[in-house]
Amino acid sequence: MGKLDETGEKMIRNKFIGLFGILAFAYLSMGHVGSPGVIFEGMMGDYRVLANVAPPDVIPGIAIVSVILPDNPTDIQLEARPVYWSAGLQGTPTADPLKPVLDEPGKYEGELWFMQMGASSVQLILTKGAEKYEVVVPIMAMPTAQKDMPQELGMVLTGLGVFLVILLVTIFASAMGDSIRQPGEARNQKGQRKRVIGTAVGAVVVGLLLWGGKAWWDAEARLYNERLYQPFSGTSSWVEKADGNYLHLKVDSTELKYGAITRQLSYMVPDHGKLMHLFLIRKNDLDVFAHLHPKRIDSLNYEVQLPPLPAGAYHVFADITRYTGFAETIVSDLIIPETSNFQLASNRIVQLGRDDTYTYSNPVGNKPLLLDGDIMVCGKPGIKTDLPGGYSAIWETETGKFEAGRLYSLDFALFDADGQAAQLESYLGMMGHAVVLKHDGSVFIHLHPTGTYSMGSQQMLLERFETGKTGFSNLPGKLTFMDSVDRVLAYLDALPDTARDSLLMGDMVHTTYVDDPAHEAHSMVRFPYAFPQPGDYRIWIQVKINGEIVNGAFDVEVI
Amino acid sequence: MKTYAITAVLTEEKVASDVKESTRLIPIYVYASVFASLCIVIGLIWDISWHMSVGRDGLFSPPHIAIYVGALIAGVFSGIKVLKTSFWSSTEEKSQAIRFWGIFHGSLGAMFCIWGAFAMLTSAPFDDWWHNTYGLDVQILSPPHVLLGLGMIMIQFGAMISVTALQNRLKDAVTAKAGLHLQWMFALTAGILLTMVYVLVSQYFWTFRMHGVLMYQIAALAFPLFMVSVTYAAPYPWACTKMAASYTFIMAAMVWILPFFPAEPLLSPIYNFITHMQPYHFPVLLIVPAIGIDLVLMRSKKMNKWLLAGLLAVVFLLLFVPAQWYFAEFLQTEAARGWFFGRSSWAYMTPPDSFIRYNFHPEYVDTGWSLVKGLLIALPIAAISSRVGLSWGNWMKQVKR
Repeated sequence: MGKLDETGEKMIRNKFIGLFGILAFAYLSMGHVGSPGVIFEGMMGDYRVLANVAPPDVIPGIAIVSVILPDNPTDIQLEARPVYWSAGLQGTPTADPLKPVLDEPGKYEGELWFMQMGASSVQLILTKGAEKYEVVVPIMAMPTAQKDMPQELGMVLTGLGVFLVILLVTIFASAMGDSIRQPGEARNQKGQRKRVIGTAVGAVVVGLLLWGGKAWWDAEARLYNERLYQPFSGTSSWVEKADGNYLHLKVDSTELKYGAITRQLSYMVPDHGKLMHLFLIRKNDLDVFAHLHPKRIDSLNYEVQLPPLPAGAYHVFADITRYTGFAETIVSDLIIPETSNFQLASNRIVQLGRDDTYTYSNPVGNKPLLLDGDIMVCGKPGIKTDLPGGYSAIWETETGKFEAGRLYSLDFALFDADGQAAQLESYLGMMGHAVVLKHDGSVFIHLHPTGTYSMGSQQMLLERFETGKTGFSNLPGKLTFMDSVDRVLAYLDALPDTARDSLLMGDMVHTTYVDDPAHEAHSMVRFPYAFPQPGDYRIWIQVKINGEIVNGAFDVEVI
Repeated sequence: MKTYAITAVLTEEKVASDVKESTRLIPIYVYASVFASLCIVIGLIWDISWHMSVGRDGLFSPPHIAIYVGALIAGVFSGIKVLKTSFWSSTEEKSQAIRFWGIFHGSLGAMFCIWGAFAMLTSAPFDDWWHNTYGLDVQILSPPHVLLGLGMIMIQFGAMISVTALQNRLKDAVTAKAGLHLQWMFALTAGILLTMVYVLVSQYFWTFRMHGVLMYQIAALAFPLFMVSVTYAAPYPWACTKMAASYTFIMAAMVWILPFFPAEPLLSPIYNFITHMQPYHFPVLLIVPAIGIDLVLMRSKKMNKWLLAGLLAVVFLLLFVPAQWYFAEFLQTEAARGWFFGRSSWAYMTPPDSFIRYNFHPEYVDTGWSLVKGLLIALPIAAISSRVGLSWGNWMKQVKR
């Protein structure tokens, strides 16, 4: 471990202490994969706030913001406004009030306009008397959808269009023929001929107009398609080396036509001390799960040593965050071939280094997704799963049924080998972490008790807003930035556990949201989430008990 | 509305027998379509200013209401007029209108207005779908907006044709007062049409582009067509100057009036922190070539049309290019930043220290040979535009229904 240069030291001393301090909360969760909504859970003053932001799928467009204040306080005012990384707080209009939703106490709703593509956020402002509390929830303002015209609208527009075409041709015919006749004068042969010529001219002109309009429309649609959010494509490959097997991830950024600044890979920043959080999940059975942290070789190439995973085809999800607050997930596939020296180690947990982890669980589909009637937590039934090390977890749910698009608190209670409440320790600054995957791989998200947003992005946005900087002209140099980040990462990696934890944790205050007296006897972890679409899902939870990371898998059907 | 329509018809009948009551000879629906036309153009410039100042708008923003009121008045008055003539009028009245689709009778102006109103109506759901599919307004020119713009232009053209037809039909059978009314209504409707055409091409007319030939080529394409046709069709002198004066006054009045209203940007990002409405462009000096066009047509109307078109093109460019070129230089100076020229106007989303705010954009500056070459290209463009204008004017002169 070399000595840090001045930049690195400055970073550690000033900026990144604060950065990492708060990033300790941050476990990357901005999953663009099939889960566009952003959920935030936190405190504003004394009030618990649960917010759900549905970003526009077309930019410029309108986001829908729903906020739930479970305590339903009175005499408060709730407002929201869209704040861009590029424009800062100063370049943001006054906030719009969120209006209370009738018949749903404590729920507020509003619309926000997002006009530019790029890294942005929703600032929530809660005012009670003289007190004012603010929070920033990152969102990515990118067009993600391409729409067809609804049939009914198409029919109405076609009808009106046909009427306009016929009337316009009639106008041409009348203009050339009838309109220049003296009043009272009857239509003669010459006039009739002019009408015919007028009709022909009109038809040609209207035809040209329609043809031109169609060509223009097609060009606009093409342009829109170019602006449409394109995820980075990545290629993961299995590399055998003398000291073990490696995963090599190569990111292909050649398709990137828009967001050249906001999405630049040179401006990647560490989130919770790691540049990349990579999840490996065996396809189909979903029985193998690994969470690894690759190292950067250059801005497009990343490498990590693999734990002894069984052969098969794997989903690879790599979460990253940028200096602009833009966070996304790079999706790829990995094939692990059969190797002679590999033996299946069933149902045991191995910790790789101090941050990487992997686990095996039952394949999906061989266990009934039924509530266990014998298991009751706080009077509620649950779905129980056994965890490695004799621990167990119960997913507490009233009915075991979940609807797509509805916001839920996914509550898990953890028990030790004796069936007593397990003592949960802070793991990466949190009570726990969860990964949600739809069986077909079309939905992936990494969430934590504060919601589904990337706290790394949140921190980047807050820091930027504090500086008062706007625009894109004041970015640090690409190479300098990359070098500085690499040096900080190397410095952190070389630190002993306690020193690093202390630096990463910074002045973080660990907040638990489980203050319900009925749950005092339990160790609970809660994740707010809304399943974006119906289907079968597997959820992995990650908690830390007795200094060990424990992973458990649950299955659920969403209707 | 119905009462008005009936009044209009009654006045027409009355007028036929009593020429002395000639100021009322002008049917109400003609006044209505001129008023509608004015509403639309004011609403349009106001809307652009709204987008520069406030940004966010809804279906019922004040400028939109002005535009819809215009469309509604034009569509309803013309529609009722056509239905009235078709189903509740004497054969004599029908014989003054155009018969179409077997059952309808209406004037050409009314047909234009109805087309315009329906085009505007069609553009609304089309535009809504467009926004949901490709994004909210960030451009003046999009297919649904062009449909809307065509609708507006058709209404304005319909208003102008209504006045022209009346003018052509009545000829000398009007009192001086009614004649004057018609003259000014014609000048106003023509000026509104010119304003509308200007707005559609105005993205080439920002001051920072005024030392580039492209702007002058666009001007050569768009303006002689309308200015020449109106002057050629008008039965009185100085029609083009009056038309250009109307355009100048409408555009300038918006520059003077809009800043009186407070405005706050409601969309992010905001780079220019404004507190009142930012007006759109100060009018370009079309009034200068308009005088030239009038003088040429007063003297040489009978000349060969191709030669005449060439002459008009030369006059248009010779007068417009230097006038606007040097005026543009003035517009870049501190002196132009007061209320009169409104040059301080700057949209909220553009940084106030942008170097093109009070400078010509180097990419759009032509000097030397590139300027000469550009203007030589503009000349045939202006000639063709003028030639089409002459034919069109000739046709307008004959419209009587």
